[in-house]
Amino acid sequence: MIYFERFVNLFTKFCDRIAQIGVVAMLLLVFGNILGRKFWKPIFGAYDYVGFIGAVIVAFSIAYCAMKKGHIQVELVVTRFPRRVQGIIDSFIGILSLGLFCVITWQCIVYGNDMRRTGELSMTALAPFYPYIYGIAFGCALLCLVILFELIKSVNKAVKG
Amino acid sequence: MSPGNIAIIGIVLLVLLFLLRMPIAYSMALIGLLGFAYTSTVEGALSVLGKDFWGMFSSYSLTVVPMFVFMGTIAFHSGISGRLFQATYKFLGRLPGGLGIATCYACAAFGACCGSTVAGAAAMGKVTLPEMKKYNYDPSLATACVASAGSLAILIPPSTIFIIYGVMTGESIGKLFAAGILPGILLATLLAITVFILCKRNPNLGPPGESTTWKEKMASLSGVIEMLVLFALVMGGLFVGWFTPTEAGAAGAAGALIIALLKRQITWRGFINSLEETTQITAMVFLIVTGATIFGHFMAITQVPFVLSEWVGGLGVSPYIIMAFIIFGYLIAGCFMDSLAMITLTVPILYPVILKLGFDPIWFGVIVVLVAEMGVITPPVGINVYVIKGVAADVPLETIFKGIWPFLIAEIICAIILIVFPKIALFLPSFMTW
Repeated sequence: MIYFERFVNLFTKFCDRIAQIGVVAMLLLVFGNILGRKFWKPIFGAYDYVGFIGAVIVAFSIAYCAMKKGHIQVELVVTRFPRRVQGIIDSFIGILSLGLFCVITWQCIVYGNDMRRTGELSMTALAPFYPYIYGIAFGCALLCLVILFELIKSVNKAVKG
Repeated sequence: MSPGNIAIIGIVLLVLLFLLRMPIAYSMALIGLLGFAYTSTVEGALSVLGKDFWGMFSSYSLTVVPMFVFMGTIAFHSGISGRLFQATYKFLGRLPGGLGIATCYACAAFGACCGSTVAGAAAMGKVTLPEMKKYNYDPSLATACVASAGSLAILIPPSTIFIIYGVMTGESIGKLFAAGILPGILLATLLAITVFILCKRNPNLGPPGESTTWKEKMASLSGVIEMLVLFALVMGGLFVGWFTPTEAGAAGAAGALIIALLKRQITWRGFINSLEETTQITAMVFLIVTGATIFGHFMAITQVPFVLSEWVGGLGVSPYIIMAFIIFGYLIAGCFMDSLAMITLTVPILYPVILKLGFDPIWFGVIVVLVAEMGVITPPVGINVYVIKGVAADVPLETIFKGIWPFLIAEIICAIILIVFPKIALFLPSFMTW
């Protein structure tokens, strides 16, 4: 369990670092485009690439955000229950969340496959969409891993109290 | 089962999942998916899922979020909050409750670089509370003042709530930003007046500070003036149409970073922390908006928002009475729910109602942000109060909540003024013809 925790922590943090590089890349691209438009010519396809980088930033940071308990939740009611009841409720919610994000991961792969098959390209940069959609599928799969880790902790809490 | 009943069951289940501590974004996506599948087909619901995740994650309109958040985190880690407070204190400190009044205006100024209420309260709380403690300010007044004024960050542009409202309704984010400026200044002034009145009636709550010379006042402006000029330029560029909102955010973030580097105000650690905070807030916001979009599809397929708007339109009651009910509802919901979740959940349902009633959607955006500000300070889920409690560990939570009431009244007065004089919000956007 300790090794699993360490792996999930390090890997999600590594992916978040990629998202951080994405923030810097987006900043440089958008700012470079402003300067280019003013003094020379705009960067070709900047609008498309900003959207793609946005997808990378979010996809690679949602899991670490979950690891850091960054996704907003209402703590008002459950914290008042005994520890074991909290564990049971969290296990139930964990199963629902895991199921949801497994389905989302699967659907993103399906959607990415469709896009690859049909050869869908962006409007100006003429870049394919599917690698970024697979990126979102990867991010959601990583989130599944975090939820699974939290679920194991919740089940332990429910069993041991 | 009728679509209306399915929608009501969906909303009840959603609230139940909220209360069971399921993250807001997950709950909305799950109920949206199940509701859509039940009302339409399972295949249809599943195909919407992939498209929504791709559509929202790669949305150009939403890329404004990481840019403005990065601008705010850079400003925070370069220590601008402290310098803003010193500047406002030098000008206003000698008044009764001067430190509190300075806090209100420093929070307003910090709102010009930061779009998150939590970040606003945390940044200003760390700077102002030790000073107010040093000058024997009443702990209840001091903490409640920062918790309330910290929420100005979402009214004064840039604001994450305005961005989300704009993306969800299709309203211009630039116009929403412009609409928040005058109400933000009005609210900062009302909060400052509240501190002044409280301290004038009972000087022990907040004694006046030392008077300062004009030389000291002017010296305090160095270190904040370049940042404020940068933000004025960025916002000005957005308002006159030089930049898209994303470009304005990127220009602001790049400018803030360059200034911080040139003046050696940010460390490498501060820069990395800024990036990490940016990705965390971005992930949280994008996932909530995506969840709300899926839930919105479910609501749309049940036609509840349209039926509701037709029903409200046919009531024959004054639109202002209905607006009062909506605000009251928000106020109550804000006591129990996070503001961001409350807005993403309700705006898709209420937006058609607002249009049907003939209210300006930009003005309603300002009202929504104002009630969100009330939500972050009202018990029991006043997130800003918990943030301030984290900064001032020795002040009991009840003491902070006790001090909130006069400031909450000031915010309600601000909402009433905006309802009576909507032009205050709509004056600046009226100059934006693009």
